[in-house]
Amino acid sequence: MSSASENIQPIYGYLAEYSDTEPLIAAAKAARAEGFQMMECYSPMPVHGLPEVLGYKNNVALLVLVGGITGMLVGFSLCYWVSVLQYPLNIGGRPFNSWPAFVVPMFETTILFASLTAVFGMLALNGLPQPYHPVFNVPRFDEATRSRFFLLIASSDPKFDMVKTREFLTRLAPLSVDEVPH
Amino acid sequence: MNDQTRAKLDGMQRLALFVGVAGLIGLVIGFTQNPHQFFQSYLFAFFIPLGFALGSLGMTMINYLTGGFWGLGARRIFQAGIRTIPFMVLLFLPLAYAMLTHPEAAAGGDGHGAGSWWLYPGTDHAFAEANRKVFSPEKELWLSGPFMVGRAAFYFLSWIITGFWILKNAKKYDETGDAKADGMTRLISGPGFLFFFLTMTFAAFDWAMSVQPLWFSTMYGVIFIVGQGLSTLAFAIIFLSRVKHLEPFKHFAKPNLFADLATLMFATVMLWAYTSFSQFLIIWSANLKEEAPWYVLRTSHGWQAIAIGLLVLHFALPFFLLLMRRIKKDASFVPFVAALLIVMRFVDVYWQVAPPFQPDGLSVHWLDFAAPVALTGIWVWYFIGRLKAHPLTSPRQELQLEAALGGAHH
Repeated sequence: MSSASENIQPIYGYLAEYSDTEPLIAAAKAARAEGFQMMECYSPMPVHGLPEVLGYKNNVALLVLVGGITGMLVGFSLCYWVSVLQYPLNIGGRPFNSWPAFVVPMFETTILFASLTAVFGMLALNGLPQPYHPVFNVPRFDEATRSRFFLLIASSDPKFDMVKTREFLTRLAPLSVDEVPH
Repeated sequence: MNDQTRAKLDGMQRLALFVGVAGLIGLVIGFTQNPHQFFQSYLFAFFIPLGFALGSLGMTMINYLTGGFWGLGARRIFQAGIRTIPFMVLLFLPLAYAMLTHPEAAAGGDGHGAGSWWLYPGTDHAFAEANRKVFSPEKELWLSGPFMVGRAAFYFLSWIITGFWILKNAKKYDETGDAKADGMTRLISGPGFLFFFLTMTFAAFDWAMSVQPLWFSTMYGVIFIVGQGLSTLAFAIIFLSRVKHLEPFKHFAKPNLFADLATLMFATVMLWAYTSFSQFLIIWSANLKEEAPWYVLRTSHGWQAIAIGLLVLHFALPFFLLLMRRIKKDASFVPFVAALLIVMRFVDVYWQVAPPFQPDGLSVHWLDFAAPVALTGIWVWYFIGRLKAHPLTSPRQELQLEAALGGAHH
């Protein structure tokens, strides 16, 4: 351990294990108060209040709004291009630019663009799909899908220290603290 | 209910009574001066308190079918709303009078054409005769005054039976924990909601659509029903925001409850826009002379300003405001959105029913303000009375709320 080079940490981080949501939130709060930023939590179900503790900001909503408005404009442009510019038809003497008839396609493209933006925006922002993640190197991590809650402090954190961080995590009363190899 | 809560509810009830009675005095003066205008103003104003009462019934049934914290948090409000349905029978009496009687003088000079009637041309035989080609004897019978009043009695009876039957079982479950009573609330709610949808559709046809009896739209009833749900959710949000710091509301009237109710309000805003626009699109596309004049009348002679106002203030603005979760959770801001929507509910119904009464174009009468104030005020007064007459909470409901809130309120 003492042979750690200066730039590359020898491990990916430390993983602390908990049996319930409340100690996990308490530990995450304590780590946050300590000044750690590169943290992640893993749990079998959504934990209410945890995103706020981790300082997580969700930008998908804004992307979806932009996507939806874009879709609406694209829908209108498509209808206008077809009905006014490219293939104008006289239907019952109505004007070519009959916006009430455009509303349904506009609505559909709004939904289409918004939902595609939601899916791909989510993937772009959360970095999925990710075929390899070091955290799976810890055998106990399998329990994260069933009954255990994990707090990870990554070695990329400026405050990370091989000895002190481990000591800090041990003080937060976890069931175990594991090294996560790269 | 502790003293603080009682004092607050008493204060709100007194204010509502004061406002309501002031409006009623206006209505009485208006009736003596211009009975035609009185009935016309009364008709559109009647629909919003009716919407609070029947929307409470609809929302209660939906909540029993779907579950959800929103209905648990607003349950007592909805239940008190159901208890105001018999009171709506009283408020309906002027409309029954308008169905059964005819103005003394022939109303030809009012631009009504042949015949004379207060609100519903179909109640007048001369009108039916003059339009016989499109107004069959069967339709005349359907829209005749006594049959209209008879149907109204049937609608009200069915709503009262459904509502109070649910209340009886809900109360039993609250007090004894009887699982059978709990099951009954759901068992009634399924068919009950279907039946309510049908009866309210026909009620909207009878009481609102038949002011222009030659026009028809099957979408019409749905627009009213969605509007009732919207009004009720808006009312619940405003009411809860006034009492959220008091026992027992303070235990559950938290940002989450406002967010849930506001999300449902958002959904009903979209549903209202969807149904209203669908009706327009279908009629605009077909462009038939039996249907299109209804919209021609409502998009000209000054009414186009109200139509655009509805588009912006009943849909676009609340839509974008309620997109934001921050606003939906904010108990000090979202009631303003709710209040805007209640005002727009009045405007929407006004736009639906008033144009045929004003052949020379939009002209708002002072009674059009007095009537909504009177009926809303008097309804809120009665509503708070019903709310106070029953326990605001029960140990079982507190347990349910506790379970629903879960870890959220630690």
